[in-house]
Amino acid sequence: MKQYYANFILYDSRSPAVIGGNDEPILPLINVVFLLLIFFMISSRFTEPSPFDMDPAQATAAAKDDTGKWIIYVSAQGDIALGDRQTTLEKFDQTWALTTGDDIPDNVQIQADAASDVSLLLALLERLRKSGTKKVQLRTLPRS
Amino acid sequence: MPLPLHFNGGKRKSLVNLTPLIDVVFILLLFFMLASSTQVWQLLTVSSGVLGHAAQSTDASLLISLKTGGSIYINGRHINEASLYAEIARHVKTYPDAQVLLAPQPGISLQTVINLLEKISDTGAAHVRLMREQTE
Repeated sequence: MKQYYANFILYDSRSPAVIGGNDEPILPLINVVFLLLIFFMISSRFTEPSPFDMDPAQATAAAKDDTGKWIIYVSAQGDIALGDRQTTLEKFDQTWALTTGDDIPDNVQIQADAASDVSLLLALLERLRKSGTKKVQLRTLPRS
Repeated sequence: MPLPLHFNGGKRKSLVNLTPLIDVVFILLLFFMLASSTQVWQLLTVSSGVLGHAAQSTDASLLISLKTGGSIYINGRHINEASLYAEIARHVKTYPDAQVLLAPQPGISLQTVINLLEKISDTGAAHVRLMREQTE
């Protein structure tokens, strides 16, 4: 039994005489795959799930993302979401207070669809300003 | 099922079977490739105000109204887009601290406003604000 187990580790049970010998031809492949893995593990930033299917606005000159904690999503149809919590403009103050609690954020980011009505955005900006938020930034993509 | 790797004619015998390790590394690689985002977000700082509030506008400020049809008014006077930027550039040269207040009518898309905001900023205007007509 012991010998069988050792054989199982050393050789593949399906073809005991063949496997386990010359690994050199696949070593460069394993090296490259490891390097790719390390590259993706270090450089990747996980995709933030957006509550709506949206085509975000584009801009030319803007500061790079510094990853804010609070992101408000606005869809082309006028739906609003705070993170994954959906709300409406009428209920925004209530939801905002509920989400942020006593900790009113200084910096808020808005990710709005390119086709969304600007008056909705202005109404949101007004409400955020009243709640004590000092800085509001629009999340945009580079122009394609 | 792990990928079977068969190599004939091997002279040395490896101590550990590498196949499961390679499988796991491939799966990890796939996970990171699919879960990671390559989108680079850019942040555009927007400042806003409400028209009609005191201390929002000064004598030197320019009020640009953007109507749904695409027509533009500067301080209540109709203007075409080409002469708008020239006029703003001339104005901010005379009054460098002048505020440019952009008041888009409801129904205008965000992308249209961003395009206009960027073109206004290119004229040299340092203080551009989005304005909303007071409704509450």
